[in-house]
Amino acid sequence: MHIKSTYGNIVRAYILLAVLLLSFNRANAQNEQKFYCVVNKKNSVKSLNKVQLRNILLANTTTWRNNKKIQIVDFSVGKKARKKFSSEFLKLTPNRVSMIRLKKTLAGKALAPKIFHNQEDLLDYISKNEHAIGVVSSNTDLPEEIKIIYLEKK
Amino acid sequence: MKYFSVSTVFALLICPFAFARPVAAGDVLIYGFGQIDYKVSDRKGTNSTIDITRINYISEFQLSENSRFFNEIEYEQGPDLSGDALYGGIKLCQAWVEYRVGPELRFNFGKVYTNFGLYNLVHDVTPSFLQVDIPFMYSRHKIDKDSSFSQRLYGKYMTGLTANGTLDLGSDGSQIEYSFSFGVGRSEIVNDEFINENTSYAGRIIYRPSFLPGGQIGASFYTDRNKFGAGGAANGIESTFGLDIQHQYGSYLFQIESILASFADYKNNPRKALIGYALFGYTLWDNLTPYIIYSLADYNFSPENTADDVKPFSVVNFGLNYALSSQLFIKAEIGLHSRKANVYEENINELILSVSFAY
Repeated sequence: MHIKSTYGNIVRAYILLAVLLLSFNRANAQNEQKFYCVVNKKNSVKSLNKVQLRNILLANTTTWRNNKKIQIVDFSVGKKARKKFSSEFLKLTPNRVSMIRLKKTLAGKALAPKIFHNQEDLLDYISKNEHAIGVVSSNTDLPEEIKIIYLEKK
Repeated sequence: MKYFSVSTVFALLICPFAFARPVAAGDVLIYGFGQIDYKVSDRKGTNSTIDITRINYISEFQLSENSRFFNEIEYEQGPDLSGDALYGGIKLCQAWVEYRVGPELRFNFGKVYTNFGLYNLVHDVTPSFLQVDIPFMYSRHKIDKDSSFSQRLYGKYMTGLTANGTLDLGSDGSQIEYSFSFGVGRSEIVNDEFINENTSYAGRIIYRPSFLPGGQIGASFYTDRNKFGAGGAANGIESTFGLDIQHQYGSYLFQIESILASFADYKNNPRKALIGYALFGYTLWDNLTPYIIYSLADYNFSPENTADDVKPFSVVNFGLNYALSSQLFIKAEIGLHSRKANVYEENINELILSVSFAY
């Protein structure tokens, strides 16, 4: 009897989650154009779609196509720009994003992100590092060594 | 003595690579994490304790453009390095060399955390998850009242070869991440003996669909010939299968995970154990996350059950996780165990206050 009960509870839990996920109403990231995804000009990547960018910034994708480790650069958690991008594009709170990246770093999967307190330092780092990727506000003046990654609509 | 031997092992592991080529700035990465707990429980004969539960040092050495050496050493329970102490310990948790063929294929050789379930790869990295400790199904279980020791229903560590990688499915962003390992299993002390002589196999596949941002489904397996036997039958082949679903989006985090383990009891009767949990957390103001974990366990799930009165039981944990910064967390957790501790004692409740940090 107890076998059925335990099994039933676990199956019910899976079904409940499946229903929640299926009924989940995916909100559109309407504000992503307020941000530029930027990399070093030597980086051969020209475009990404939103899911691919999300996978990179959450360290699900940890290497570029040329097998080089991706170096995420970001602002510190308290910065407005990071809060805005995290909530509007990644759809996660900044601390949740940090936890996800920490998990990947300490498991040996991804490089620890480089964290900067101001935009000049962040851009300076990307301009000197071929494998770095970051996100800045779309009204930013970019140095010559940096290019914008085109975000595909789909 | 202990300090000397661990240092020697550490030095032997590191030196060949250090001497192989000069370590230039940027080639070595050092980071780690730690956890300090205050625990109080109504379990008979226990007092409240403050423990430096663990301080872990991780270092990573780039050996070439596509290879690196990664290792993790844990100082558990604040050991006395003079070697006179009867408590605590220093252990090598991970030591592996990786060679990256490409994003789709990497090889790791050495001692690794078995890639099993949502949590085993970060088994002790408490700043990377909400709760104080990872869910109960990953713990050691004392399956039988006649057993003098407890064991996990899978091997926390493996020493051997792992092939893993990430495959992009088309151009829409969907991904499959996989990992397959074989080697010697357990690689830890069970019943006062270090077990690492029996062959073990493990695998894990994760699917991340592009249509559900933040969602993933995963399946894992682990099998080995277990020297001491989870259910008491020595040297039996034991297998565990796991299934997990996770969704984190906005302020929510959902996780559901379960394992089904097959083994034999001390009378050599086949037996199964089913353990699962559901976790829900909701983050307020980016810093404060209340969460609840409901775990269920049935150590005797087989219909052909011949064992006596081992009943299913549940554990409910309520907790709060407060992020002081992205690397420093304060956690408070209350655990309500409907089970009888060690199967046959009275019910227990406990409170844990914990500080965890990463550096």
